[in-house]
Amino acid sequence: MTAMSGQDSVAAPPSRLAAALSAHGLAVLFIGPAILLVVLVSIYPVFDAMSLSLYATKYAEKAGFVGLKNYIDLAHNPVVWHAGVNSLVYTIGSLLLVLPFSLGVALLLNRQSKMQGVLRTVAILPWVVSQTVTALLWAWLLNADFGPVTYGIDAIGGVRTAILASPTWAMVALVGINVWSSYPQATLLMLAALQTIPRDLYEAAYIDGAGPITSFLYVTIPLIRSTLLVVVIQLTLLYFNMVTLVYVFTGGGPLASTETLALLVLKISFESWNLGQGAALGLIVTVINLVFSLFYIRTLGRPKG
Amino acid sequence: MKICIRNGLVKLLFASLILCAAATAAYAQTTLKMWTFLATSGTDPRATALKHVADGFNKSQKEYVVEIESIPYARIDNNVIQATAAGQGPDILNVYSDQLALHVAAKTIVPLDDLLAKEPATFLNDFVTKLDFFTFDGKKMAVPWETRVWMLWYRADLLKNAGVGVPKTLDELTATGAKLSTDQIMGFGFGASTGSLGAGAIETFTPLLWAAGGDLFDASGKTTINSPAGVRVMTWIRDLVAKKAMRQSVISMSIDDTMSSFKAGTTAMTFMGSYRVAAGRAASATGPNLQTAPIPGFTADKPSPARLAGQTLTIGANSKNREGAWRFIKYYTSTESQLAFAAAGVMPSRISTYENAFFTDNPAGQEVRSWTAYARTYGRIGRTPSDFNKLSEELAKAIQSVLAQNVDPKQALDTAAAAYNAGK
Repeated sequence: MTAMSGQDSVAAPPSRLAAALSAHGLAVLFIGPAILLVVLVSIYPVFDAMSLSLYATKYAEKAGFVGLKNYIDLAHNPVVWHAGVNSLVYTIGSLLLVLPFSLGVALLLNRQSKMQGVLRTVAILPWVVSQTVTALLWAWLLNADFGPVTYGIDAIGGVRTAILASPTWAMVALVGINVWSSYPQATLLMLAALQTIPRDLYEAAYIDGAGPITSFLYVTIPLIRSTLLVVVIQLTLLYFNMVTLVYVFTGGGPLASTETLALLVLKISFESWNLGQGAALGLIVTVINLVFSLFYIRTLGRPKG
Repeated sequence: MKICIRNGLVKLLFASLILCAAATAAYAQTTLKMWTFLATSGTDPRATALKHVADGFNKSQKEYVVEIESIPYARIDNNVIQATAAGQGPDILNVYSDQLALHVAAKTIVPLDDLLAKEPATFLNDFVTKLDFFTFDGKKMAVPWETRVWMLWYRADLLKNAGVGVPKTLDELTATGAKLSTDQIMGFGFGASTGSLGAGAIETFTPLLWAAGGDLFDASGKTTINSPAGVRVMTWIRDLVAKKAMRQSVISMSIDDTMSSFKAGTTAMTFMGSYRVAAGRAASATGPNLQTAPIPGFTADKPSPARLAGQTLTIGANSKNREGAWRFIKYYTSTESQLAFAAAGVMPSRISTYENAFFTDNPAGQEVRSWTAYARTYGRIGRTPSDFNKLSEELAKAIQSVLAQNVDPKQALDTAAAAYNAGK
């Protein structure tokens, strides 16, 4: 231990970090726990999954480093590619239906009406129902043997339908139920955006000779463009990662026709107990999500003109 | 004087505290956690029986208190594996015999040999399914508390209305199913979806495969479902739809959907386990119309072998209360507890339980006894590997491809066998 020199005893100027800490101490105090939480529950698991994806696993334990083998095996597995196509059909199909539908409902709800409160409540009801209940409810309604919908179709049309037994119709039903379950989320965001548009703009457009369609295209859409971007990104991530609804409604069947990538992650990880490969596929799904988001931001987020 | 009184009070207080602590210690109960798929409330009669058993154990002694944690059947095995890996998990674990190999491989349970060694031979030799069946690598891993057998379920009211009898052969079953089928009713049905871990498919296929002379696995552990016997069974399943005894829609039905359909009266016949009979009859639309018979065979001289399985109890790998857990397992398999479950339509696992008057004097007991007679005469139990769920799922997909895409039975079973056997 050396004695402190005279120079050392003179207080050194505070570093930039220390200065920032002293200037923003309160902010750090408030934001710190939130950042710590995000690191613990969001960032750390991603890195842990990256590590796990490079290992062979036996049940919940690592069995040995295998490098990129899990990724290579996945790339050579036709089941994964089939699930990838299913995920795209499910996500894009749902988006194509939910966006115009929820915008239409938002436009209707934006109109002045004596029943406004009741209509808005009814419109968001499906959002209140959990995905598990939604799936069970619709599986019962569409059941080929004792479902009321099947019975109704049989009674009216004399045709016995088995929607969930057909690979094509099972996917159609899944998309439809997904739209029914998730449109309120999009509707509420769009409704909020519509209510921020000043009426003056519509009046000005009307004076300029614009009809309803022209006003919609040149006033409404440009002004809710940023909200549309948020909705599209939110819903894409929601649909691409959805497990509960698919798992409970069809379980991925029949004939794996509704088996999506997210569901496959669950099955590989916790039914086949191959956690390493499940982690690898989970990371691939994450990357696809990022690609989707960047694509939307670049296309929809770019200012027009 | 004041100091004296104060000192006295302090001593009195101190003594009281020590007494309280001692009393608390004397009556401190160790909590035993039990994880099971059964609930302690609800409409399933087994839930009432489970609550009765847990309450009875808690009242029977003061050292332990058992707490029941109910986890849905499809999730319980995964939850246990994850919890055990995290150093947690239950003291007592309910494991279905088909899943026992999975838990042994995942090291979620521990051998019971040291505990069983202290038990008399009258206990060790008292099980309908011998304890050897629950032995892995020479170690006994579980004790059965229930026996179950698969049977033909039929709706007596629907058969009576159609003027047909209970089928004795599989050809008769097809013919009867066709007669019973209407726009609203499916003559015969079973769960052929991959839901509920593909249980409906494997539980229907296995006894028929045995009846045809085949087996699920060879000595090396590879599946042989694509044997000529397997193809014969798959062809019979395909013909059920072709002859309008069953609808193609079964490919979207899980075993639970089949149960609901049977209770609703829209499925007239199915293959289902004895353990569900009480729950089936509890539905107002079913009641005593639910009747059972042996699963028909390919010939009239004998039925298909009865597939046996059962729920077992074992001790979790991270349990710190092995003695307490074992005491509860013994209580759970006692005559009193077995009778409580028998009243709920559960076949007891202990031979001595059947000596009770309930099985001779009570109609419910007599029925359980008849199932046991079927099980003893035609019962067969097959060891299931740790990846049994994968075979169930591949088999369900094979059935789906035959029924929905007209894939040849042999080709469908070859595909399933190849998928399961890959890497073995």
